[in-house]
Amino acid sequence: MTKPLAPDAPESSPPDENLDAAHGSENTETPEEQHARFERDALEYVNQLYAAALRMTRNPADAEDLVQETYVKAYAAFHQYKKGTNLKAWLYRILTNTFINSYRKKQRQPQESSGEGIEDWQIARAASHTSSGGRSAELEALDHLPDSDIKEALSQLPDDFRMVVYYADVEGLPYKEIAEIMDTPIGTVMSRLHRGRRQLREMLSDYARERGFGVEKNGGTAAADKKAAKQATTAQQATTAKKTTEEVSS
Amino acid sequence: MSEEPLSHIGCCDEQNRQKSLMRIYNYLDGELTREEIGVIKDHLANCSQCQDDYTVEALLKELVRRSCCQDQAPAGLAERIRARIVVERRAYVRRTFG
Repeated sequence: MTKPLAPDAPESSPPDENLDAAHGSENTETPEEQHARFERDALEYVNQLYAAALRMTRNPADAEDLVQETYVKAYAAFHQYKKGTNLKAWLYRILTNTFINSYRKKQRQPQESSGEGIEDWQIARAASHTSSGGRSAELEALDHLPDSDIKEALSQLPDDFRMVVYYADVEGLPYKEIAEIMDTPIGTVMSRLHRGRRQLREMLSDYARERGFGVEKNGGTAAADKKAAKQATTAQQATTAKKTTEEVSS
Repeated sequence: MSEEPLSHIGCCDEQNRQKSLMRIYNYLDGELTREEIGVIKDHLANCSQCQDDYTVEALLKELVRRSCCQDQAPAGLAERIRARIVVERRAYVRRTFG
């Protein structure tokens, strides 16, 4: 794997609150000291970067390659990183760029257009249909979903939506930071977040329905219908659950 | 984040639902000012549809977090990265100093 180094490394690192720390000592640092600092500070984020890479690539082998490549690029560009700025965001930005430039191209499933064409109002309408079954039923149904269903739904989102949702929900990053990591305006972050979450909610409601957790598609009072629905779906439940598991594991 | 004052009337019809949801996201994601938080809290207390959306969206956010936070890097990844960096360093030194 001899690739040209650091084409994806950002020119400058995103700003951080504690900017004032440790400036001025840059010029006096020896290569050995810089190497040691990289090992000490940057390698701390291996687990976090891997978790994000796993969501991006959707498989462990590619995720590991992506993280390794990210660190090699980060190492080569480490002299560009400004001490005291947000190192994690800087690494995430290299990770994101590396994913977009090299991994996304070889992903098997085409993901690009699956969400961008859906109008917001259609998504909102679909969501409100689902919710008319009674919010407490929807809540209960969603809360019963196994983690594997959530991950499966996330993996179905278009890359850009999935990454924004991941950064906001799992990493808890502010919009501004996500915008810097993904090199997009804040408005784009917000609209991707909006669309991603709408699609996620739709898919998860579908999964809950397939599993017989009692979300009615077209309303009716869920509480009253729940018992009947449960009885009706019990027979299907075993086969549906089996099918879902197969789909997830395939 | 939200430029317009919240209105309890018509906030949930087709057109305004997007804005309402966006405000709920901004609230959940910690993107509102103290003043805006006061406004949305007041609104949620008076609008059952937005309150319902808020509850579902808060759960979804938590579900996503919960499902992904268990992922751990495979054993030895940090060591493999360290080893690669050392190789890169040697290559750099060779390139630079011949």
